[in-house]
Amino acid sequence: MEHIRKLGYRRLGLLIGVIALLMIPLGITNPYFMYVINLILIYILLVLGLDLIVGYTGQVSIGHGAFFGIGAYIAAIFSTKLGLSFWFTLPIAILATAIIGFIIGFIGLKLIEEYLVMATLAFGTIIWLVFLNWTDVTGGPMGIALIPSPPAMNFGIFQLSFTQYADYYPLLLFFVIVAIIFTKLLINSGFGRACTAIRDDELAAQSMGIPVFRTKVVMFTISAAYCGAAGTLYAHFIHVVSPETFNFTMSVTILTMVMIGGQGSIIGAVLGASLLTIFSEALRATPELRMLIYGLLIVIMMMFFPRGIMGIINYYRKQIEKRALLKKMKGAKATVDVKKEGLGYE
Amino acid sequence: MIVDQLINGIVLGSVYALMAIGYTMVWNVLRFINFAHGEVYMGGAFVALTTMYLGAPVWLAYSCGMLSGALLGYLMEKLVYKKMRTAPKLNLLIAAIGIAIVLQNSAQLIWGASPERLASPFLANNVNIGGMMVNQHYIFIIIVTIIVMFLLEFFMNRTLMGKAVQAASQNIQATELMGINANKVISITFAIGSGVGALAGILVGPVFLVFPTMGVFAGLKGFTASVMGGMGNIPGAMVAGLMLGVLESFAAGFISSGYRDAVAMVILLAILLLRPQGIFGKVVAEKV
Amino acid sequence: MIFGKTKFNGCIAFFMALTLILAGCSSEDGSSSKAEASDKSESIRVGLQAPMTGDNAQYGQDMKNGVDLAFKKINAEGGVNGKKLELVVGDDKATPSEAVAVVNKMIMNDNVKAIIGGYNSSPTLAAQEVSKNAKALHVHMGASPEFTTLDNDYLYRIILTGQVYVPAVLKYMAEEKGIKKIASIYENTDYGITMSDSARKAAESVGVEFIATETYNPGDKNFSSQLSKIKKMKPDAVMIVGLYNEVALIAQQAKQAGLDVQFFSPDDSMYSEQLIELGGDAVENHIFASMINMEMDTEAMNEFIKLSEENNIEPEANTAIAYDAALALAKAFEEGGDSPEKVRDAMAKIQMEGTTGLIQFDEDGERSNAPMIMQVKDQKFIIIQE
Repeated sequence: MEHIRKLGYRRLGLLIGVIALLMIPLGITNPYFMYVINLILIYILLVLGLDLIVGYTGQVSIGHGAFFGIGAYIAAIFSTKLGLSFWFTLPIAILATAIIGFIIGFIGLKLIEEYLVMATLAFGTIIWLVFLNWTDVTGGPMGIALIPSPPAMNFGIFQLSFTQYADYYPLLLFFVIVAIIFTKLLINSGFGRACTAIRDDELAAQSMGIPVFRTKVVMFTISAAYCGAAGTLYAHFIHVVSPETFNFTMSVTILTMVMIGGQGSIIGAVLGASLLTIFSEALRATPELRMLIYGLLIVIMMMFFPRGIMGIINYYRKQIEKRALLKKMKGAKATVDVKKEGLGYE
Repeated sequence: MIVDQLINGIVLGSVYALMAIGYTMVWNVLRFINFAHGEVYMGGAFVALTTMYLGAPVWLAYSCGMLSGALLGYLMEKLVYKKMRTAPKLNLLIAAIGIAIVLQNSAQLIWGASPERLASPFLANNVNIGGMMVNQHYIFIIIVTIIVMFLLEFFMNRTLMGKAVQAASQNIQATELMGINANKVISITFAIGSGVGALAGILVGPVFLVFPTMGVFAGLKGFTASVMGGMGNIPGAMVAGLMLGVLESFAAGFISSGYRDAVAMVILLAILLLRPQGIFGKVVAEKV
Repeated sequence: MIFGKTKFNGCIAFFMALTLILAGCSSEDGSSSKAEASDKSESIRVGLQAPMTGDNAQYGQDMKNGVDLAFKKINAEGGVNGKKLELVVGDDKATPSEAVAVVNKMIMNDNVKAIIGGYNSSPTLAAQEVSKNAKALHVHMGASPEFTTLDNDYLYRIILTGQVYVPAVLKYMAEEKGIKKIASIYENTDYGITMSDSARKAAESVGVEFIATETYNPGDKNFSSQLSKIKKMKPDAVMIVGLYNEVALIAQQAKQAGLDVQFFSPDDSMYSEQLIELGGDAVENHIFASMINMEMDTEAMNEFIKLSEENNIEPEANTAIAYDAALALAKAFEEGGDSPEKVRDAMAKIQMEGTTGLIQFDEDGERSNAPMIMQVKDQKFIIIQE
């Protein structure tokens, strides 16, 4: 009985939550805030994608900005030159980034640790240079402008014409929710557990019979596909793509979001993407100080809170749980001893 | 045209070689890539520029730039990396990138974004070498690089401190057990690597100008050269730097100048995949 | 069990909190915009879209100085119809995507009524879509001829289009200097490509020939390979389409490579003391077409120089041009009042003397003053042909 009631509450909670999220555009009248929220949703997709490989599989990539860019450029090229709509460019971009991700993963994932970092860095830079120099296709430094909006959608009660930022919100939210559910399913599956095993101890995983290399490549491919989807959404949302958006800085930004949110956590991904985006938009008023403060924040977070915001949250949650446990146990000593693993290094 | 490109390549290559030394030395003792190394290159050049602006003679300005580069590297290690000795490599990497962002933007706040030219007593003259007009400053760069290489070689093999650095790159724990102060060795490594990096920045300042983001690509190239030479191999890094400069220059001249920077990246990828120990590295079995 | 309960609740709670905060912000903003409505009578906000950081930051700073000067002058004289002008600065980093983001922010969040800038063509081409939809006047300084073809009534160009500059300078080179073979090196952006295209079109009519074209990307600092290719072709003159950083560097590196010919540029984007500071002897004799002469003895120019001395600002060409843009905009606001359409119509009919001569626009939002030919002589800019 108890169980069912709890389940009911959860359903109710889900329903209320989704409705609340859908109501956001009504509550926010300032289109700029809507723009920032949409940007956050795109970043969440990217961070979820990168977290699959960094947080769950333990392989570092500083080239994911390139996958984001490939997705965006494919959307831009196919929609402006061939006139394809968003619903066609999206699967094309996802497929293409997945294929490229597979190739890169297949070549690069044989490398370990720092060597993989270098290889992904080289890959990201090469792709960025291609965006910059293949002027006939990518428009060179000018990029591609006038990317059309997604076609209008009619749901009876309300319709999305994609003429204002609020219209993009439900679409982006839909993709983010799908991505969260997919991520959750993926990491709870046997395949996901194999990835976590590789992250924790590659050698042990191998001796347990997990095909380490194949697992890594598959995860890398999926991760690239997330970024491709985010790129397509970005291109159709901003309507212009240009190479600097997808350079080394973007790869670093995504990785920083993963690290600051906390690796291997969906809420961490959401938190990291939201906070860093808001932070960087809020600092727009002082362009000279913007990146300086941003850099300082990164250094301080990495020095003192290496496990990101989720690390801090977990630490305090454990402390509270311990206290509660101690209260329950009569006669126990009143000292609370929580291992500081949430805050410190491993 | 071939000779032109060759000279350009050697000049660029000298700079890459000097940059590569910093990466390689730090890798040697700490096994990590100091992504903020490019910013030392920029910082040194800016300090030299300011000292010269204050009226110092050229040699004094150049040495001040070099010393402040060394100091910057030393402080970087003392203030941040030292506190993160036990941290996972990924955290260290991101912290290094954070430092690079901070330094770049501080430089922009202090000196402004517009590029400035560092003065050089040699820039205005060309010398005739076998019918080719070569700029004197280019020759100055090559000579300085050769001198630095010899000095480094002497330091590493003939001095006690140099031998301590070599020992630390073999095994830092064992070094400590032998009674060598590992922290001191690490500090010295950072200071020397950064000083040489700053010198590279000062040398190119008169040719390619000094500006806050100058370190980004120079850093990537130096880093590529250090991988090419085999991570941790100082003579290898120097030769690889020269090779990279020449290759790049030829590629830019005969293929396309837009893809100049891609050449280094393609080489980096190829080396990593085919010969991760570097062109001059020995194969070392991975300890399991 | 797709969601862990706590995690799911956490997610929902976070989003709700975010909504509340942002809704709070926006309603607060609503009230403040109501508050603004009352003090709307006191201020008109104008956005500056320009590169404030990165390689082009110097141009952004010059433009900001110019607009600041103009606004200070207007506000000291009582403002526009009693309203004060207020500047909002947006950094476009000289890139299209940042430009769109920042113009969006300025129009939607900061409530600006017009945009001045950008400096570079590509970001401005991307950003004018946004200001067009918001019916905000956009007075820019991009040189690319492409702007003429756009269907945007709110877009005005305060400088001349490349189609005016290019033939003027080519004609001068052909007639006065007897140049036949030209090599060009241009920036691989809207600005460089379109300028170079118009140059090639204009070349036939004045009897010159382009024998080599090389490109570079914005931010490049090493031009040795392009220059050695050009050197091999033995041109009579080299046309550089770029900003002062590049012009100074290219001239210097050409000298080092032993390429000693006449250098020229089609427009005045390198008209800045910085060019001489960076280029030194190498930029001596550089020829370019310009719409402005900082030494000119006109009432507007003298006033500008006086103002900049009072405020301790370097009187650069771009500062003066941005100053003109701000004055023209202020005049349009004064005549047009609150309605964006009326302001636009006032801008279209504007006629005033600025530092750059008579300011008036044709139906494409272009100016049609005659450019002068200038040259660097003894570390100074002098006019060699009116």
